[in-house]
Amino acid sequence: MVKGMKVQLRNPWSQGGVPSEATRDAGTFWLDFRALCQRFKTLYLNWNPAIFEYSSTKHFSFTPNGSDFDIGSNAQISLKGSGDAWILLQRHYLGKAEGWEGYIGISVFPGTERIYTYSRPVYRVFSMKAMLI
Amino acid sequence: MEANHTLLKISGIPSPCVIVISANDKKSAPPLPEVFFSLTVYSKSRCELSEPVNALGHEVRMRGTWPRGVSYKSPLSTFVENPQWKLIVGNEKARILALLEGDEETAVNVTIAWSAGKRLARLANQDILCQSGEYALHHATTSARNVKPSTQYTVIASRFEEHAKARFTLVVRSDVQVELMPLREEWAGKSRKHIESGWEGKSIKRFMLEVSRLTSFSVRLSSLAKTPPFVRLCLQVNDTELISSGDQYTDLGLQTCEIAGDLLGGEEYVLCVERLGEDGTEFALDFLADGELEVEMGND
Repeated sequence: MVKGMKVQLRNPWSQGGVPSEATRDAGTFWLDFRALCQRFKTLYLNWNPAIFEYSSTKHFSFTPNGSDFDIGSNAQISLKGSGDAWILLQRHYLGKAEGWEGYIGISVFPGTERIYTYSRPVYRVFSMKAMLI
Repeated sequence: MEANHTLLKISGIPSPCVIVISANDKKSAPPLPEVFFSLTVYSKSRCELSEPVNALGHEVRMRGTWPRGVSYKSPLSTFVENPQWKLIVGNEKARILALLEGDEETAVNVTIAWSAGKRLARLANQDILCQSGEYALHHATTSARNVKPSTQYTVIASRFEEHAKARFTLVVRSDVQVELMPLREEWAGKSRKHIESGWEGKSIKRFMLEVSRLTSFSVRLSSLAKTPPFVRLCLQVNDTELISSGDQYTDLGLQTCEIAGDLLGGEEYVLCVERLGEDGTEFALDFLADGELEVEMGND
């Protein structure tokens, strides 16, 4: 993050009561990014997937075997393409009773073959705790 | 619908590539529930999603435990007692991958060796087909290509330390059908004897062995000294040598010294424990037998 970067925030409840269009500019203020990180736990950003000309989606399921190492039976997808890409992985909750407190993650390995053990991915990202959207 | 999501940007897709999805919950005991996902790739150029090639489509999975006292380094109950399996490769050359996973604190090793599918008491370098290398915490993996068909191998799951009982999972994957058969410990339930002794300044220490009926036995010599000596074991009857660990002395720092054979009831056998030079003062003998075996220290 750029040092000294400021972020404009709005508190819709600053005037009390239900926020309305008439009070749109009221309650806005600037905060430097460091202070923002100190005061807020989560930051949600909107983005517009329509800016990408191409997209491809797969829906799937698997049963985790509890190992971070033996990943041969994990869901895996082969990708062919070029240039930059954004990979969005969404886990669907079928019911709140699942009690899942784990993580989900994406790792990218070069090649065409299924990956059986976890070793040296070229990219990876893990979401450590369930963030509900 | 509620969802848990994660986003990854790839700068320059390594094409082709495989995306692996991970999901785990360390706090929940297995089996974990089935998890459902949607994955979307956004790009400014054309991209294609497909199934990766399942090159090692055959899988054999074994779960077990190392009993307390079984390890690689223990001089009392050693390598031979580690879980071992006969690996049978079918009619074609095989590509094999073996994965061993233990507890997070357990240093593990997985080895595939030539042995005509028999339980191994020791591991010689020339017998190793592939090995995971140094003992590593939590998990180990080893693989081999062009594994000869119609040959039987032994897979050994070993751990370095012998602390409490510990669980493990062994997974063998291959591009052709393979079979894994547990190799039972030959001496399970048989009599064992552990004797600690010393050379007391001499180069040979003798022990008298006696059995009442035909008995198969083995004895392994290990050093209790900081500098392991070069040693030799031999079994004599009426001053004639019957079995020995070889003509040369064995470096106990590098190898195991062991002999095995059959003893007849009523004969008086003498086991000679020989050392070269003055190295090593104390040693241990571990006897295994399928019947009652009397061992007495000789009057040297």
